[in-house]
Amino acid sequence: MNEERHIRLARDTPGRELRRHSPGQSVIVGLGLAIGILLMGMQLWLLTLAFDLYLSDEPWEIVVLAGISGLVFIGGLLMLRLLDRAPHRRGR
Amino acid sequence: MSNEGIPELSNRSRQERWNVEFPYGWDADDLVSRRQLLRFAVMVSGALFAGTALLAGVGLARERKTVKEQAIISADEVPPGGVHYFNYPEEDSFAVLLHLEEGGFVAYNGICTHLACHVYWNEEHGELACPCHEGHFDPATGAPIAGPPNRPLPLITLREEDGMLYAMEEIPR
Repeated sequence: MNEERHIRLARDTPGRELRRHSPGQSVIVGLGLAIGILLMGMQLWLLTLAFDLYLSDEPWEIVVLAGISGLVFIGGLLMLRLLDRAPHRRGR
Repeated sequence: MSNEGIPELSNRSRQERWNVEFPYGWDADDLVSRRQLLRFAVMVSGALFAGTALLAGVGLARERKTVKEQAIISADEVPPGGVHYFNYPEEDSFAVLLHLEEGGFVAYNGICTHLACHVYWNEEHGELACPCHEGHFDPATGAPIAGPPNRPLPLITLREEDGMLYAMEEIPR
């Protein structure tokens, strides 16, 4: 085991009282998660709708659905990029 | 892991010693798992989008009009008010030929324009019917007259030559 490294990490690891989220952070994270699940549920519904329209041979309406689904996907990508650019904060 | 031989640990509390055994910051661990969850969610979102886009692409690329001459049946084999089911334009396609009571032949693609079930000739009511969701079509025009379908059946144009009926082309409407 790399004990020196562990000792160093142990020094950096804050005490229990410091390892708390800032006020409201859990609510924001939970809200983001709920919105994300809701949007993915909507995408799944759009896919089933697209199957219906495919069977009834209405391809241009499927294009509209694909556009909406694509916007949700791009939104997710942007959010991921935004979070990747934010610095990781440890031991607040 | 034993702490003997590590002077720096001898004066530490139980919590601090645990931190040496498991040296990962609580917040750091939390952030990584959230980010992984978000990546996974975005991947699922991308897969759902790809599925929808694929359906749109296949739907647009599908042939809309089929021109193909094919012998169906001899005209005198289908009496007025009679029906004949055949495969057109492909071997696995399904089509309906009707000899109308008022005279003349009509043919339609036999796939319901609602959700692609096979339609059949309902002799009792004198109409084409889809058994899946109770869709009904006018035999003379192929237009929907009841139920969920809102588009007419694709028309198959016919030609009669020497008593034989030929399918000429299928026209989506």
